[in-house]
Amino acid sequence: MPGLEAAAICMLFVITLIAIIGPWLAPADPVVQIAAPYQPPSLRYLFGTDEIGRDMLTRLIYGVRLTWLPSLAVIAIGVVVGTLVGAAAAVAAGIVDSMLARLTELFIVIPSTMIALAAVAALGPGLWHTVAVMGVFWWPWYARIVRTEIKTIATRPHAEAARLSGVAGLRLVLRYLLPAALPSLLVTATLDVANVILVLSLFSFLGLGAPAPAPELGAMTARSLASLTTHWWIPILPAVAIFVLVVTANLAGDGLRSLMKTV
Amino acid sequence: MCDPLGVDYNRPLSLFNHDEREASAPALDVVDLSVTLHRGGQPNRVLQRIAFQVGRGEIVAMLGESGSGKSTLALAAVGLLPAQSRPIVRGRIAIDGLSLENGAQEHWRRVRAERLGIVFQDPIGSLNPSMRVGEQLAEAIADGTPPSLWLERVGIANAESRLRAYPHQLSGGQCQRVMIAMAVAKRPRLIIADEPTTALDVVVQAQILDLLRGLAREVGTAMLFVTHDLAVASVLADRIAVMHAGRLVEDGPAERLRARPAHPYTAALLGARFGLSADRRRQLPTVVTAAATAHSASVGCAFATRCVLVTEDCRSTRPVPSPAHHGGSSACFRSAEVSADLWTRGLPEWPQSVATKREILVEMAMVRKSFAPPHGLFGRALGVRALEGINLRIYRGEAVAVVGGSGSGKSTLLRIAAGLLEPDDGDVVRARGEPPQVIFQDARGSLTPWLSVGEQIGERLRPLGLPRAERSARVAAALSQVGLDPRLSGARARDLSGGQCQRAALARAIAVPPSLLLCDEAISAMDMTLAAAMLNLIGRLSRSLGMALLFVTHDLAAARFVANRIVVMAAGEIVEMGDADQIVSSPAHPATRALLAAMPDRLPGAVA
Repeated sequence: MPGLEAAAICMLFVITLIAIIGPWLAPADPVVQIAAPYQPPSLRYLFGTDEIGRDMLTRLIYGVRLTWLPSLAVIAIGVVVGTLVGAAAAVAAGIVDSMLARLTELFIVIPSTMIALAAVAALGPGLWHTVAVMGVFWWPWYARIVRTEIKTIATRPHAEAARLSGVAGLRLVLRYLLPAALPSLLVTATLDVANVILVLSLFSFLGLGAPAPAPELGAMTARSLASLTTHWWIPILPAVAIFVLVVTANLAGDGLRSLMKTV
Repeated sequence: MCDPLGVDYNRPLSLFNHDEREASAPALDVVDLSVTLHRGGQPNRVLQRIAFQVGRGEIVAMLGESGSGKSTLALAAVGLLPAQSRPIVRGRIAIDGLSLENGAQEHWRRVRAERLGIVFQDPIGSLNPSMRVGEQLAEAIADGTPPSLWLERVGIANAESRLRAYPHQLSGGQCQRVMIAMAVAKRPRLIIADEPTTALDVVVQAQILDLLRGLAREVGTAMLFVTHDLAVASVLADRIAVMHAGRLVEDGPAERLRARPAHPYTAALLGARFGLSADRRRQLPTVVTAAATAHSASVGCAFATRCVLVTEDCRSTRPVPSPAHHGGSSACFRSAEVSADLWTRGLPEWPQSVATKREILVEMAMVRKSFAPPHGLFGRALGVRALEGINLRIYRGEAVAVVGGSGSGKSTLLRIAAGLLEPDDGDVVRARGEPPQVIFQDARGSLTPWLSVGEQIGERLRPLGLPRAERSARVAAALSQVGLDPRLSGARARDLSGGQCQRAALARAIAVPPSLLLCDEAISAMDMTLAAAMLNLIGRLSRSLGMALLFVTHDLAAARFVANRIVVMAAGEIVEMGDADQIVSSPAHPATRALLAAMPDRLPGAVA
C-alpha cells in the first residue's frame, strides 16, 4: 500500500477522534460571538472570525463533527439494511430472492437524492431527518454486493464442505458466507463516505441540514458565499474542510482495497 | 515479415557476437546457475548452482516435485522470472551458443522471438484473449507457411474456421495445440515446455505429448520439458534430469535411469508411481517427511531427512554431482547402492476392513440431470445433458472408482451422490447414518480461508454436544489420524501446503467417520509423492473406519489401485462397470480403451 493511502487511513482515525472529542478540543463556543467580526486568520484566532465574530476554528471543529458523524451514521444504516436485504435474498433464493432483487433495483433506478430532498423538506429540515432519509436510500448497492458475493461463495468447495459438515441456517450465513462479502462491502462503504459527505453538504447548502446557527460545513459555505471576494477565509475554509474529508475518505478506501487484496 | 514493433526477424542478430557461436554449441547450456527470489520481502534461494545442458535436437525432461525449483529453472532459461519477486540471478545461461549472462532484456526478447519456443501450463491464459487465434499464430510463423496448415498439423479440425476463433471459444486442449503450433512454427532451436499437459485430461495429454515429440523430432528442435510425472518424462525424453530442493540431483539417459536410478530420490519417485500393474494388496511407498526447499538445509544433503540410505556423511557434507553407473551423474555418496526397488521392498499390507455387513448404502435409479446453458445472444435454450439414466449401487465398505474424461458427467454423479445437487429425475436412496463427506480436488479451496482448521473440523463434532475439552481432543485425534501435527489445529489454509490442506480436509471428513467418503479428483492436482501418500491414507482410513469410497478420477491407474469396482462413464452414461483388474486387463467399451491407451505407461515408447 502506498504511503499516501496509509496516511489517509491514519488521518481518518484522527478526523473521527476530532469529531468525537470536538467539544473539549475547541477553544470557544461555536455559536457565541467572541471577538470583532471579519478578523483575518492570525495567531490569536488561527482561522479568523466570521461575519458576527464567532471563532472559525471552533466552528470548523464542530463542523467536522456535524458532517463526519452523520455521514458515518448514513453509511452504517445503509450497510446494515443492505446486508440484511442482500443476505436474505441470497439465502432465500426463488421468489423471495427475485422480489428483493427487484426492490433493490427499484431503489437504484429512482433519483434518490431528489426524493430524499422532497422527503426531508416534507419532514421539516433537521440533521437527523436528513440522516434517516438518506439511510433509507443508501442501502441498495450494499444489498447487491452482499447478495452477489454470498451467491458466488455458496458454490465454492469450502461452503459446500461446510454444508456437508452439517452447518446450516444462520450459522452458515454468519460464519461461512457473510465474511466473504465483508471485504468488498467495507471497501465500497469507505469509498462511499465521500459521496455521503457531498450529498449531506448539498442538503445543508440548500438549507435542509442542521438549522441556522449550527456550524455545518456545507451551510457555512453557502451562507457566507457573498463575502468570498472580501473575506475569503469565511466561505473557503469550510469548503477546504469538505474537500479534505472527501479526499481522505477516498484515499482510505483505496488503501483498504489494496490491504484487503493482500490479505 | 515485420511485427508492429518494427522488428525484422529475418535480419541477423547484430547484437550478438557471432564468433562466439560454434556449430556444436548445445541448444541450452546452464552453467553454475543460482537464482534467489523474494517472497514477502524475504530472499529465498530457489536454485543452487545448477549445471546442465540440452544438446541439439535432444529432448530432456526436468523432473521434480512442487517447490523443487524446476519451474523457476524453466522461467530463468527463457528470461521470464517474475520481476515482482526481484530475482537475483548468478551464473550463465547460453541458448544456441549465445550467452545471456547479463540478462539484458533486449537480448532476451530477440532470443525468445527467434530461437525459443515456449509452452506454458495454462494454455488459455497464455494466449491473447482479444486476438483471433489465426493472427497470433501468423505472428509466430517464420517461413510464410499458411497458419491453417499449422492448425491442421497440430490436429485441430476445421482449421480454416478455427483461425477466426478467439481463445475463449476453444477448449483447453485446443488452446494448448495452438500454443504448440506457435512454439514449433518458428522452427526454434529450443522449446521450453513447463508442465504443458498438467491441466488437461489424460486422453488429451496423450495426444499433446505425442504431438510435441513428433513435431520436435520433425523440426529437429531440442526440448526442455518440465514435469512432475515420471511416466510422462520417460515417454517423451531422451534424458531425464531430476531436481530436488533447488539442486540437480541426478541426470542420465531416460531408459537406463528408469531401469536403475542412481539417486535415492529418483528411486522414491519411481516407487511412488502407481502404474496399471502396481501391487494392489500393498500400500504405496512414500517418502515420509515434508519436501525440503532449497534454503532449508544449509549443510549436508537436502534429501538426508527423507532418505533410507542416509549416513553421518550425508548430514555433514553435501554431495556434488559425480559420474554415475548409467553414464550420467548423481549427487549421492551411495549412488552405487541405489536400485529401482529401493523404496518398494517390504511394504505394509492394507489393514483389514471393519465393514462386514453387505447392505446397500446409496442407490441411484434412473438419475438424470441437465444444466441450463448460459443464454447466448440469440439463446437457443438447449439443456446440456450431464447425466443420462444412471443406475448405480454402492455397498457398505466397498470402494468404487468412477472413471471418465472431462465432460463425462463423473463429477455431476458424485455431487448428486453427496446430496450437493438434486437430480432432475430419478431416485437417490441413502441408508441412514452419518451423511457422506466429500474430498474436493481443490484442497485449499475446500477450507474456509478465515476459519482455522480446528474450527472447521469442530463443526462436524457440534451435533455430538461434547464438552469443549473433549471436542478439541477429538479434533487433535482426527489431525493425527491423517498424519498432521495436532498443533496445526489453529492454522488457516494459507499457512498450510497443498498436501497439508488435503490432509486437513480429510481430517474434517473422518472426524465423525461417514459411511461413504466421496473423492472428487482428490489427487489429480498432486505430485506423485504426495498423491501416493494420499492414496495410502485414504485406503488405510476407509478400511479401518469401514467407510465406503466413491473415488472419481480420470486416472485408471489410481482407480484400479484404490477401488474394487470401476465404473466407466462417457457422455453422461455408465458405459462399463466391473471388477477393477478385469476392466483394466480386458476393457470392453471403446471409451475405456481410449482411457487406457492414454495412460502414460501405455504410450508408445514407454518403458514398462
